[in-house]
Amino acid sequence: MARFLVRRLVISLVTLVGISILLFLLMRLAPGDPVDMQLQGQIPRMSAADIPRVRAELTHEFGLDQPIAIQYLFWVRELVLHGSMGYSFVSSQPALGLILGRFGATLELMSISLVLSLVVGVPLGIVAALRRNRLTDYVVSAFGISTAAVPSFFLGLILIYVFSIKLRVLPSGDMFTPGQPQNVVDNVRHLTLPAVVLGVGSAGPILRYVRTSILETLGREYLVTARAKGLAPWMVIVRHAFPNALLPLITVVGLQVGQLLAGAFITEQVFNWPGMGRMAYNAILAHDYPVIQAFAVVTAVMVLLGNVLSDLAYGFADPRIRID
Amino acid sequence: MGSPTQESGSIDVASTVSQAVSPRAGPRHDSARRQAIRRFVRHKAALVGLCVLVLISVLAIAAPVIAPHDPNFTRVDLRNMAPSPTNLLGTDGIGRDVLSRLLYASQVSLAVGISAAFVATAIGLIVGLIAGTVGGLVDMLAMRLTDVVLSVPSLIAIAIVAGLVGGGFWIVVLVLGLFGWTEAARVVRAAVLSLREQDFVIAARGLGGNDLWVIRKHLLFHALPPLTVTATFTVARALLTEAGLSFLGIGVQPPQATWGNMLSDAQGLNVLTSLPWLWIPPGVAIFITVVAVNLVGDGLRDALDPHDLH
Repeated sequence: MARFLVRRLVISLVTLVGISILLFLLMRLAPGDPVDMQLQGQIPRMSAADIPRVRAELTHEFGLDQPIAIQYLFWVRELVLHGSMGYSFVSSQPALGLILGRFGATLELMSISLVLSLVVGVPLGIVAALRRNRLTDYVVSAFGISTAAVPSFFLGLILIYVFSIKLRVLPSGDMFTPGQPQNVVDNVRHLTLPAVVLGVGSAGPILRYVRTSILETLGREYLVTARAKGLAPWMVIVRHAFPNALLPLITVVGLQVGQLLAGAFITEQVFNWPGMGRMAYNAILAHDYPVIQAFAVVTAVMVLLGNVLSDLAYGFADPRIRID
Repeated sequence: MGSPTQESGSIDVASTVSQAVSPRAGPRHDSARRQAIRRFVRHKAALVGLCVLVLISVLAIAAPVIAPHDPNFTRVDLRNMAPSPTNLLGTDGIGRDVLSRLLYASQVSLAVGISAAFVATAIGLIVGLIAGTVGGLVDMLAMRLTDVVLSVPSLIAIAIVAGLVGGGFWIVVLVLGLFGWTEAARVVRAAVLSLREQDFVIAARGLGGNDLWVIRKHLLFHALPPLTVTATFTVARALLTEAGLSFLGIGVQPPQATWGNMLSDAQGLNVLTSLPWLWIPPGVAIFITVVAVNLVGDGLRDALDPHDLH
């Protein structure tokens, strides 16, 4: 077990180094100079003679006058020695701190969405499997196919239109009502629509997975045996089919971390949710490399952690899986 | 949004491959193909999806003929008009005909989806073939590379690169391809690995066929069915991702209309509230197209992989 964990963590670390190099490179090779983006607002207030000097100073301050390889090594050194991922080009705040400051909001959105998608997806998948090739199955499967095809931002706009504009029951954006004391009820009201949009995206895959998995299990011989020894049909399903069919769901949930992060990236823009996706989007528009890099690394850590944890959980939950 | 390929994991690939290499499939592949076509036709949902796709493609190709107006012609005096006999879906904020823009947008959106899937599949095919046939260190490096690409969700990686480079048709296609090839690579690699040890491949090699010849003659052919399925789902994913990027304003740039950037206008509260003809049609168009592509993908998977449980 320990050997497995170490091995997986080492591979994850290598992967992290790989993705950090890849994005570091892509960002700096992309056209568009971050210094220009910073200067844009200032130029009217500067004398023409000052512009080249200020540009050179900023380029030096951002470290962009160094070769890319040196910039990367410098980034790694700062990370290892001081746990720093550089400073925002825009606000001069620590980049990692900025992203982690928004981490809570994104995590709240993601975890509630995941719970929602499980609450909706698992029962529907079970019902569809048990009523295979009947009307219920078709309706549930159609729902699954629809959720995979509706763009999250379109669903978001529809929900805002219906619940915020027409019915006026739920707010259309932000995390709290501005100017009022923050409380849980207010937060939940703001969370509802974005969480539904994000949760629907994961409900489809979970539903389809559960349906297929239960159908496979129902054909197994040990279920025939359980029936033969006199167990009631519902007992057979609840006691023998469900545990075996639903255990691998742990893996699916682990793999949803990436889906949820990508979904949150868009959902946060639609609902003005102050998470790290929204901060990263603004950083992309401003060519704020350190903040983008910090966001990408935090994202990759979450995805890789999701993978390792789901493997571990699967090993604990299913004694037949011996990890080593 | 949800990945359209959640079920095409390695298990599917393995069973597809084992089907493809069953003794019957080799010499009589013509009849195996006919069987697959029969299975696809029996899959009613897939047929409906195919018909819808054909219809949408015809509408897109025929846009210059059937569009009632020039999609970029602005009539400031006729802006934000509700649907009427002259403008069936109304006009937008600078008086352009929404129906005409929708028809032309379908050209661009479909082209992005298909081209991106083509680029992704081509990269995946090459990486998968090299990893599977060369093996050893090269294989390990290729698989680590797929791990790296997969460690950041593709939408986010694509948004970062496209956002920095600036949108545009070809940039979006290339970036979508560059971050969308991992699934295809894994599918091809799995097919190659399971086939490499098959007797007829060893025999072909023994008869003097060099590796390239063996690849062209056997491996490629047998990797094709699972690859077709993957490519189809990649089209659906590319359509959704392009829409998302264009919605965020970092995809294909106006005035070139795509379904995504037509929707991005709806972020204004005014458009959302009182001008529904501006944002509902493109959203519905994306939805219908992606459903259709996914249904065709499901049908193809069932047709090419009869062992699967659907």
